[in-house]
Amino acid sequence: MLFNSFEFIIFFIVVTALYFVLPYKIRWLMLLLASCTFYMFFIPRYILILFLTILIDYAAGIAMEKYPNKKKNFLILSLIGNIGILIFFKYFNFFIDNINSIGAFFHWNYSINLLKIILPIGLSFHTFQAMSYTIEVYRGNQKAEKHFGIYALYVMYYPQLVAGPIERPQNLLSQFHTNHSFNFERFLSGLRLILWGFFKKLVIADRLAVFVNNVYDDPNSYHPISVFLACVFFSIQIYCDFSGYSDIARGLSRIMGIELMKNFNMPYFSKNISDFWAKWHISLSTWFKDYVYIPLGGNKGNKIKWIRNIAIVFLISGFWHGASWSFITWGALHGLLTIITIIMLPFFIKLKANKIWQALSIAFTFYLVTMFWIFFRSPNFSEAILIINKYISAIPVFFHDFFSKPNFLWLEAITFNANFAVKGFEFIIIISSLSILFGTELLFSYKNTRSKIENLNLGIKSSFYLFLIVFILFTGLYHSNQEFIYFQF
Amino acid sequence: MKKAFLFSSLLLIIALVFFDNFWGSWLKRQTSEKQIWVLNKSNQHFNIAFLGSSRVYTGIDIDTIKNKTCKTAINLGCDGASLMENYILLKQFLRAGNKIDSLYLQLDKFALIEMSKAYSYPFHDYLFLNRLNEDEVKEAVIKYKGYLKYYFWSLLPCFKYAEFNNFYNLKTFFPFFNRKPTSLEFDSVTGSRLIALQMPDSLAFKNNNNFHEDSLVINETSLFYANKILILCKENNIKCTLFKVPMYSRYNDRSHSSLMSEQFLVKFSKENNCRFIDFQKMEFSSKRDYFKDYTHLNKNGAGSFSVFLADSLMMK
Repeated sequence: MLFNSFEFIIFFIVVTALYFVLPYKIRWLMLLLASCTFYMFFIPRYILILFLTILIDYAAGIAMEKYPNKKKNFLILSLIGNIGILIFFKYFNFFIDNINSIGAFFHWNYSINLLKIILPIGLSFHTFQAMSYTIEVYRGNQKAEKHFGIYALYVMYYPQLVAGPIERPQNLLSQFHTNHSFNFERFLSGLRLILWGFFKKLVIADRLAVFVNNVYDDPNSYHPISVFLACVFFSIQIYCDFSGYSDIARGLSRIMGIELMKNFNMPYFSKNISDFWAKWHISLSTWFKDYVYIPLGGNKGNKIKWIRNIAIVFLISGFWHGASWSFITWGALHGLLTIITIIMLPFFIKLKANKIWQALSIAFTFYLVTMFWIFFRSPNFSEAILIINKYISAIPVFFHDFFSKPNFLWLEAITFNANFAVKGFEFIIIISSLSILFGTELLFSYKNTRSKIENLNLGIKSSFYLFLIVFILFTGLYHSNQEFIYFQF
Repeated sequence: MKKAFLFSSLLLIIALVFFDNFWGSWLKRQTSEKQIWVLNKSNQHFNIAFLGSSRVYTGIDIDTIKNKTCKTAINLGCDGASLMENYILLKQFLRAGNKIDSLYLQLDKFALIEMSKAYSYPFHDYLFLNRLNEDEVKEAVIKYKGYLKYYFWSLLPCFKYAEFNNFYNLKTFFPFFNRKPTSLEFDSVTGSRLIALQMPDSLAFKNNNNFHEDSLVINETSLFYANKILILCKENNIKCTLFKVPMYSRYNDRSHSSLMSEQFLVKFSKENNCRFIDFQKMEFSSKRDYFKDYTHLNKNGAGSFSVFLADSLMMK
């Protein structure tokens, strides 16, 4: 079931109403059943996979507490179970495909058949969440959950089941054990988050997707400036799509009194790539930091080890996103840029306070992040290279045409050229939506303005939300059948 | 806080009711949409009416029919209209006080099979949103979209229009973007849309020699509405004739399902005591110059076919 579907509106109203009507003791059961229903809207039989991981990790948690001397063995068993399922469904065909390619290179006459399996939706997310439970129990930071239903709910909690945020047991499990009564202010705050999430998804992400898909489907026939614009649009699309999902998830959960972690913090205003990763998909970045980077040694020891640790984390991160060389390259590029940043940063320390330097850093970081997203979005490696060529050449082409062609109409070049269909009113909707998005985010980023906005007259605040509702109603795309991008992971 | 929320909610409801009424009356004025053009006709008398999908819409030249037969006629065919939509249009057309003596209903393979397989958008629900209370529209929406959607659309103001905001576009409020008047795709007197395109070589010479052994699965909903149209004709003393507009023979003759549909239609017309004229059998259908694609006549073809059709109307 998609958040942006008609069925979900009904589902949400019924589940939320039942949550507050039912006695506290059986709320977990209702939420668990609702989460199962939510998940089974995709591929019903895959719920068995979830059940299997829940069973393994629940048993491992209990066993680790009961037999502390053997807890390492139980942790390993649990990790093998989780990673095994992940490898089988997500990476098996990738490995076989590569073995076949190597075989073909050496002219071997046989190839291994690929498995006809569909990746269970959100597998990487709930597997990582389940793993964080057993690791935290092993480390002694979390007591093993005795209540099987509550533990199952921790893995299956519907707002964050298919695309995160990847929660930690310390934050989420305890909230399931608390009786949350209805709170009007919290309800409004949750609704506001949901509204903001829908604005990002329906108005911005899905609208931009139309243009991005056009260009990525046939990049050869588009002018470099159009390709450049499509790449920038994809950067914004993926941000609005994913952070929109996270906002909706947090809002849904907040209404029920369960607080989920913030997953994004204005990532495109980052001054360097390390800063970007501290603000983008925070729940995954911190997961890798806590469970991979620090256990590997983090930044302790010599610089070579530090660089090695960063490289490992980013390669795994790329691989986590998808079983293809494009994703691995995407991860590797981020890793490489992070390493370069760490090495180079001390040389620019004096410029850190300079406003112009800060603005240039933000623009350059966005330029590079956008370029790396090309690997993420392209269907294959060769097309990614083609698009990158056009992306890099777009700015020189623009200046060349601007100065050498007297009749050069720049607006026409970015909007109409090569059949690029962003024109007229559509263009105004996109520009105004992006202004609302980034304007609001910027305003909220300054503490002074934030508190001023929070103290604003209720009428002004209500007017803004009324405007937003009408704007979403009449500019959102409701028939695009556009899934959330991160569902595929 | 609660007061502010209630006040905002009230304002929102007022805004939604306003937009609901605005779009409802705006829709009535959209005569550039063929369906709305049909729905806006009232208290007129036509000797002959042609009802069907785009094959009727683009394949029948009403002026030719009028000139040859000296009778009044109207083309009620619409792009992508299934039998469900045909029925709603006819029912509402008659309810508006219009009278028809003789109805020619186009029936072919595409009208009989599952609607979603034959047409990309078989029921243009977004054009009937201001008529949800009317029985035939209600029945169709429930059949096509389900109860939940029907009640969601009918009970909540404005949401139904918002869902189709590519049609009910905010642009309407900004005259700057609406300077160019939209040109009508069809003749505003006859309702025909004659297209001067020729069938491209890529289609005409496409290797299509294989006979398709596909089977014909008659869709229950389509049959239900075919019967409803016949009953409606009887109730209004309209003489109904079933007919098939020619399709390009290289395409039509090469599938088992097309042959099956012809046999079915002969049987169906006998069971319902009405005449079935299969114009597909004419030599005419093998002339490439008469078609704009495999399934639609062009202006040239529509003119010639309408002469032939008028002759057969006078012969009966």
